Amino acid sequence: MKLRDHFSKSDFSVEDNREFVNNIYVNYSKLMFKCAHHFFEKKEDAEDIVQLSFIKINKNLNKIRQLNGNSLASYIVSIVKHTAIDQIRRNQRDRQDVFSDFDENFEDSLTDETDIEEALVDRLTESRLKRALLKLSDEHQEILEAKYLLDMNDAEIAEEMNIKRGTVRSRLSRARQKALEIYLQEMKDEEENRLS
Amino acid sequence: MKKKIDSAKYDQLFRNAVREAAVEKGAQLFEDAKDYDFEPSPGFQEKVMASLDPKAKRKWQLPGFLRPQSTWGNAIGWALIVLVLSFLIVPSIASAGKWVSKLISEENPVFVRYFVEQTNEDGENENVIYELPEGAYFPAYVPEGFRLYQNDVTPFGAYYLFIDDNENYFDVRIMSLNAGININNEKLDEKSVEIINGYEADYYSREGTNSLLWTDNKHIFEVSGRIPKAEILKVAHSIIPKP
Repeated sequence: MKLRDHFSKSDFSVEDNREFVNNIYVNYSKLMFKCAHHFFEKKEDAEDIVQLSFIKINKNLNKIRQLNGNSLASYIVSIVKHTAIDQIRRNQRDRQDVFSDFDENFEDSLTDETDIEEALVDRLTESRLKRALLKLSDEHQEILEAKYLLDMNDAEIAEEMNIKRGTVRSRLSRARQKALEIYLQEMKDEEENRLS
Repeated sequence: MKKKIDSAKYDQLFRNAVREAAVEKGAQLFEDAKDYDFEPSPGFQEKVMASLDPKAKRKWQLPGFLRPQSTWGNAIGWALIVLVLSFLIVPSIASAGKWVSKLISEENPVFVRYFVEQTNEDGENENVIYELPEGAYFPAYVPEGFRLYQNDVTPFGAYYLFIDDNENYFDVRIMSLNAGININNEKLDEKSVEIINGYEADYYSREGTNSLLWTDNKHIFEVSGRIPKAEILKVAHSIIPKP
């Protein structure tokens, strides 16, 4: 059995999980508070967000166990951010009793990924693609992380991000497409620089 | 002419690139948070832990086999780590009974990747889950029968937990000088001063848990667990920075 499989199995005791979550608190809570504070100025509000984030983390422990160090930091901060945004939406909804699905519906209406030029297909490299990914919007980075870092399926991502499943698919598609556009643009720029 | 890329290849490419990007992004997040100062309300950590287990009215505790160590400040050392210091590389080969843990480095023109590879007696390779950042310390010696169970490497420090089939365990922590560790001095079975790679180390034994702490004036090191003193010392000696 591969070690990753071992960690994917839910054979961790409750106490193992507590220990793991406690380590996350000790190592990553500073990052979490910083992110929560970005959205909520009041200390109590920031703490609520961090606490809610831990509940989400606790639900995804088996997947999160596969990450470590910096990649785990990146994912945890993204959880906090989503939790904070959810909370802001809830607060707004509570006040206005109106919640617009405009953004989601807009994304649903987008077409599937466009074809990729053959030349680009053959020249795709991880390191170049990584640079392009880092230039994506946070929203696109986060959905790609959920998909490829935690291997979440559409339903899990939809629940995690509080969006519709259709939106998950279209947003993923848009994120990948955007990354390739950035990638292609960078390649063009490099070639132009070389020629000039 | 346009064509669709092979979806499996496409997915794998994105998977690898997203993971690389996340590592870089995470490093930047830690860097950005370096000077961020925030003190949560007293008892907040306990409140969070309690909220994860609605049945538990009691205060959170470490796992049973780790419990003797919980008096050691409930990992306060980790909580106080604030300074990022560069860790040096320790190529290592660790014997672990059926499994051999080996720190691997792979280099290409863009980056160097470090990870632990585990191989069993049939020569089967384990997958790569422990991607250690460049410069991470690692115990080069692991007593026979122990395997790496959990590790966490952040810019603030490194943590490795090894266990064997009998639930014996030991862990290795490498922390910045700002870290603080509380040590329970009550009813020690043994206390001595040892020399580890030229540095004085304090050895404590209490209720079957043996611990060794020392500093090289750059980091604080701790090896602690339910293994004999001789093995604690061998593990400690094996934690050396790359020459």
